[in-house]
Amino acid sequence: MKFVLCSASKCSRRLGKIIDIQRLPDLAFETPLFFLHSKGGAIPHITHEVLQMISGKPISIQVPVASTLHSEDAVRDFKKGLAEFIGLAENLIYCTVQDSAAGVASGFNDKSKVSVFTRKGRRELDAERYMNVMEAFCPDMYQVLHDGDTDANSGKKRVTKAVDRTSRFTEVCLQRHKSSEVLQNKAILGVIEGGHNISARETSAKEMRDHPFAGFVIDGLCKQGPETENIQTSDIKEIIEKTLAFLPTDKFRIIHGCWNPEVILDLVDMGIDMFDGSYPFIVTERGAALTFCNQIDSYTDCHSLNTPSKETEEENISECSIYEIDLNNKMYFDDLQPVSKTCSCLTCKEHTRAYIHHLLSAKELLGTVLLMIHNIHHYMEFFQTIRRAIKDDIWEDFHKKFKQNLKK
Amino acid sequence: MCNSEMSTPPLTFKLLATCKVSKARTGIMTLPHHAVDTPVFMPVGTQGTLKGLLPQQLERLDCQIILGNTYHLGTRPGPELMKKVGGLHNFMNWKRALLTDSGGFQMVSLLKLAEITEEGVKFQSPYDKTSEVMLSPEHSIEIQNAIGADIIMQLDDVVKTTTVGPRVEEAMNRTTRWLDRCLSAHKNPNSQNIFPIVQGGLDPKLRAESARQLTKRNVRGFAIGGLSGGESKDEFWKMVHLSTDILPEDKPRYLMGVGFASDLVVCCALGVDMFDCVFPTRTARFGCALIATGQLNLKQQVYYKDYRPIDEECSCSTCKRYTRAYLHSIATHETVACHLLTVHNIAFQMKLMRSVRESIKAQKFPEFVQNFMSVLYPEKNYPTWIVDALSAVNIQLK
Ligand SMILES: [Zn+2]
Ligand SMILES: [Zn+2]
Repeated sequence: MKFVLCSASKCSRRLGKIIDIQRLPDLAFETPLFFLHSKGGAIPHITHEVLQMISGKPISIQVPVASTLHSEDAVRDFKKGLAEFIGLAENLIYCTVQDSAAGVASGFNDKSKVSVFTRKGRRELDAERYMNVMEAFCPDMYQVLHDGDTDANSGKKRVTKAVDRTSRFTEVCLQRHKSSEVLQNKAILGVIEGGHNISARETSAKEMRDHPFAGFVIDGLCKQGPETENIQTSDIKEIIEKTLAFLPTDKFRIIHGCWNPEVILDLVDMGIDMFDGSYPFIVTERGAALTFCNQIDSYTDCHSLNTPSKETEEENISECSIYEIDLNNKMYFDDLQPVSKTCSCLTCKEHTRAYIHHLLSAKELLGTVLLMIHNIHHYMEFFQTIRRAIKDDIWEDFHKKFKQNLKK
Repeated sequence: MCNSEMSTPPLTFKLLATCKVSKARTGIMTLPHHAVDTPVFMPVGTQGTLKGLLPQQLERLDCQIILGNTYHLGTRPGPELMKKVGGLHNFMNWKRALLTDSGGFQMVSLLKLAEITEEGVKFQSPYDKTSEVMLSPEHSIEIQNAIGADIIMQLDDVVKTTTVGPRVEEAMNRTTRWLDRCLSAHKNPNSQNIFPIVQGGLDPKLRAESARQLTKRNVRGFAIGGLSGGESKDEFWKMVHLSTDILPEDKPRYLMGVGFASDLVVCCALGVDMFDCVFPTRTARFGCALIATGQLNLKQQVYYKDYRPIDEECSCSTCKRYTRAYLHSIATHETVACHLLTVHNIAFQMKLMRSVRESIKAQKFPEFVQNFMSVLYPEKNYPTWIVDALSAVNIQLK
């Protein structure tokens, strides 16, 4: 796998491309990019048949080991790798240790093992065991095993442990990677730990940066899970900028977690290339549809998209996030508009808010299917807009207006 | 509905072929929203959706007509919203045919305190435990008119199949009286068809009487009700056989609540044209896939490393892409497993009915039945009721 930076700009934001993927040589993925979230190897609520209706093109998918470990032996004996086992062979498969939508449970790692919470309970992985799983799964890209159980509150001792453990895991993983016939041509990613401690980050980055990694994950900023969306840029800006300064510019950088769209834009602005899709998934799970403005052309009148069509006195609009509408809300009972008038997804073209509201209140599966279709589509368009804004050199204006619009 | 439909009735039934041996027949039932090939299996979409599948997926699966439940849709979202959106077709964006039940059966089975009087079915409101609600024949039709399905069902007086004595006769006669009330309350006779429901429990005389009474009414099709509720299979097929003997040739016959593959094949032989059942979709939720030899419970450990599709010969989108091993790994854990199995199970039912229709057209239905049964029962240990039922229509299992 190769990462090519396209923007020669002196600004920190970057435009790039992933090419030369061993298993999928004809594909190219432009960055900034996000990896669709998966659980048990499935895009939640979305079968391959429905995925085709969202995107006819191959996509990039994150597959957490935490939710697929139970299939390890089945995938190994299958001999064709995880991508084909889960029925998503046309797509780029990226294995991560943890499930960024579920979060990292605290206090379960030790110096030789990292805990993942599978549906059969807690499982401990040491670096050898983890690499056995990777050899069976044979993903297009994967993380080294790491201890990311840190956040803004972690003390110096804990972050130092995270850095030390991760660098020991890295040694084993790299060793195994180089000697593995099936893995050596796949992309392995270094993981930078160190919580919010700048010197720990420096140590971690310096240890990692000279290894032959395809890119770097900046991990251990938070425990992930749904709370991530409440974190503000100001809480993470300094530590990320300082960490990036220690990393080579020609390798891609990933940050996981369901950051809210404003933070995503700020992270892109700082030079992060890749993210995951836990945000549209978590929004779907709570019965909401993304409605924040994701188009360049219309960002000046964005606000109208966010305004609910009908306001009833008993409903408290401020309860809603500024990025979404809550389809559980009774106000949508007889609202025959689409989720978003400007959206071209299948849900918006064919169904109404009232129908989705009905499906959610009847606890019918199709409700979340329709929301997931819209939310994935919306998030894909958001990233397309991000790339276009950088490409067309209107990023600063777009970024500024997006933020202004949120404050309206 | 457009004006041109004033001249064409909302249901025309054209028989294309009848089996020269058994009572099986195949035809086209033309409804306002779709021309349905019969015999047909109708999947059940209780609350205005079919178990997580998109309307596009249902069309690809060749679903021609699906069911909605009046009790559920009448309470949520309710008839007012149905009227506002112009019916269930628009609400769920389903362009083909729909059928709704009367709501009565659901009430009797879901609500413990249902009381049946001449006026209708009285039950406790599910939302407000202190008040009582009455579902009368008129009210049932009013809701079904708002929902706007192509075929709607009369409210019938349902008794448990195991009930005996005067209550069965009372229910049978009341069902006829309620049919008349339904027919006069019906507001959309040009776009919706009311089907009466043959009752009479397991008593051949009462059932024959019910069928005779109902056939005197001006209707375009009939349902056979009150079966598939715990009676023996022996009693079941005899009641179906007797009902189809009396019901007119030139109108479609709908056997309610039947959907197991072997039951479908036998009842097609007995001259039934339409079936519905929650089973294929419900069983998908529990990780079960239907195949010609029975079903696979994909939860079982034996599928952990089974890299075959559910059915090598199935052309559904699930079998073309997913292995039993992968389905095993997500069954009952991810909703995607439920969707994938629902797709396959519906494809299975649709393919079965297509084979039935094609074999009738080719005058090869008896051979089809024999072959179907020998695959399902490779030891040839056919249940007696199947042998007897088929033999009653001149199909012998060897
Ligand atoms: Zn949409
Ligand atoms: Zn299939």
